[in-house]
Amino acid sequence: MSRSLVTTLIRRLLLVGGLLTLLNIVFVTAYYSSDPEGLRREKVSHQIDRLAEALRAGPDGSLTFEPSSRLIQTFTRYPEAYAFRILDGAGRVLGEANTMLVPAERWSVPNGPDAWWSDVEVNGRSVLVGSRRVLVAGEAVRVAFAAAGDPSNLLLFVYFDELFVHVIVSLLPFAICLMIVNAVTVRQSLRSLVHAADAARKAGPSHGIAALPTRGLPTEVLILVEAINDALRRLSDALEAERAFTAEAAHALRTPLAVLSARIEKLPQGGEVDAVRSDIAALRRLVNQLLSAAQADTLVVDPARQCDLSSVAEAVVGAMAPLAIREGRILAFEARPGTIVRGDADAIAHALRNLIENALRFSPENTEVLVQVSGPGQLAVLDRGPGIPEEQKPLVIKRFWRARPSDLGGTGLGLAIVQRIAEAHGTTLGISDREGGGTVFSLAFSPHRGG
Amino acid sequence: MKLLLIEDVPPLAQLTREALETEGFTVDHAPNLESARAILSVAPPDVIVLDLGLPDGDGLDLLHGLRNEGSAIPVLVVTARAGLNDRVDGLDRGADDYIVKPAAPAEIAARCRALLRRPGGLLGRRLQLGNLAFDTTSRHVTAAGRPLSLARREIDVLEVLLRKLGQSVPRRVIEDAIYTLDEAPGPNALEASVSRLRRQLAEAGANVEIHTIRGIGYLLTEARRR
Repeated sequence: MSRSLVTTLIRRLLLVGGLLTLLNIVFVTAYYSSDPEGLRREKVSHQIDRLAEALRAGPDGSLTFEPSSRLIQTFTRYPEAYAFRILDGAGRVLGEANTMLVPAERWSVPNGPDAWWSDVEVNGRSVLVGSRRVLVAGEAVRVAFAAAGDPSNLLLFVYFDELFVHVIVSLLPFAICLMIVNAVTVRQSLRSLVHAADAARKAGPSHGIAALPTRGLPTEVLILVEAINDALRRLSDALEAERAFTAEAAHALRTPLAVLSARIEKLPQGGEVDAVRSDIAALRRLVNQLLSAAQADTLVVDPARQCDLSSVAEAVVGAMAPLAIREGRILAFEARPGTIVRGDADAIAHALRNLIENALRFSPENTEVLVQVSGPGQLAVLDRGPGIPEEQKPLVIKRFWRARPSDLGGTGLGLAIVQRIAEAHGTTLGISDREGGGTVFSLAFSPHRGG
Repeated sequence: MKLLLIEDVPPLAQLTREALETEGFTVDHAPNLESARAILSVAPPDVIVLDLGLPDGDGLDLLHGLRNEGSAIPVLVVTARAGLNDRVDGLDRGADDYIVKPAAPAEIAARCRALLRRPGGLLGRRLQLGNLAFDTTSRHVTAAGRPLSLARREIDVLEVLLRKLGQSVPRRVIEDAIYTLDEAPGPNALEASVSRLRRQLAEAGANVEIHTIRGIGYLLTEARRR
């Protein structure tokens, strides 16, 4: 099963990111457990930060302490464990709680340093007191915090905070950036591969085999595309040689066939000679159709070409009417005049000749074969023949397919040629049942706009 | 009638020549462009049958040169190319008709006669089909030797159809030929003329048939044997 390169990259990145996070957790945990004293101080320092964050400067510049209920909860729930005191520069108390936890003189150190720590022994319990000078709105404030034990698991809080800062904040945005950059890079470098794939999809015997575009391809992919181009070139040469052979073979057969025709013509009419004559006529048709088929294969219609569908069809119907009459059929024409379509007049005429020949062959005597041009760009040939069974409809456009294999009158190439000419015009040969019996063969050409 | 056959393949040239001579043509044969030009300068034929692929050049060049010199000799092109585009190429360069190789000599003869039947063509004086004969000078029509008295309009229609024998003749070609500019025929005038002509031909026992090709025009053929 194939998987998108982008998906694979993102999966791998997620895996690596997960592993790195895990490693980080292990590392942070190991670091803190190796330094319990540092961790205790970290806890106190963290609480001092939280307390200082709750200080607000009023419009007159005076500071007030506005703690959140969660912050205050820590102190109301554990009066035996946590205490704090905040003093402004003048020594005024801005906020405090549970200050009786440590003796009053231990809350401050006269002319002490900006930050200090001290362990106090109170009733046999060890209390850690930390104090730090912080600047809030330009004013120096001293925040002190004391902790006896850690019933509220403040340490865990510190631990998660560390994780948050070191893993989530730093690693996650980086990882997301990396994934986006990866996805974009991969998409962009493969875009030219998509163009190459489009070109490869179009390549075929009827559209020509052109080299795939290599512009903008990353070197890693270029090797493959160049190898494909080499293979395509060899295929194209082989195809070209085969087509040339078909055309030349058909062409070369004409002269001996003409000599044969002329010799037979000299023989007296009747009996076996008539049979040979009709065999030669069949052979002549086959040679002509082979050449037409080879030419139709290479037909490329210039998109700028246009023609009047009704006058093309009128000329073909006029030219084929004598044949129809000789064979005891009736050919009729209905058209909207001035139907300009995009297309090659000669190729369209050739397709119509084949459709009419086919319809005449399968029509009962004295029935009408109707050629219809209707807007916009619809060309249809309607007969009163036996019709085509549904399961045979896709088969009739196959080369050398015949409804009756014993029927040598048809070459089995006519409708295949029509289909090929239709393809060159960006359409297909439509085959449907005609109301009241018979078949409708139709071609829908693109109407020429603005003409 | 003198016919110049330009064909390079000896057996084909020989057989076609014999067949055309049986059909009543006097045939000169040129195996290449050089001898064709020589014959054209000494004894211009009434009609030319031109094969395109010749050892010393392209038959279309000869045709082109002929038309540039103002020659109106009808030319039937026999092409082995018969591509999807050759037909137009040949007709654009001044060919009067084309036929795809391999063509039966009888077909070549028929096409040549059709070319000669055109106004100004050599067969133009007396046109014949089956037991029907039409003298273009006296404008007398006979069926099985007995004279037919037809109105002028019907004679005009018959002449157009006879000159385009075996081909579909579009309505407007007939109308252009039989009505003058200041005549304004009704929408059914031509149908009426044709149907009168049909009836009179049938009454006179002429073994010809005028077929209607709906949406196109008319076509005159010899009556089919039943």
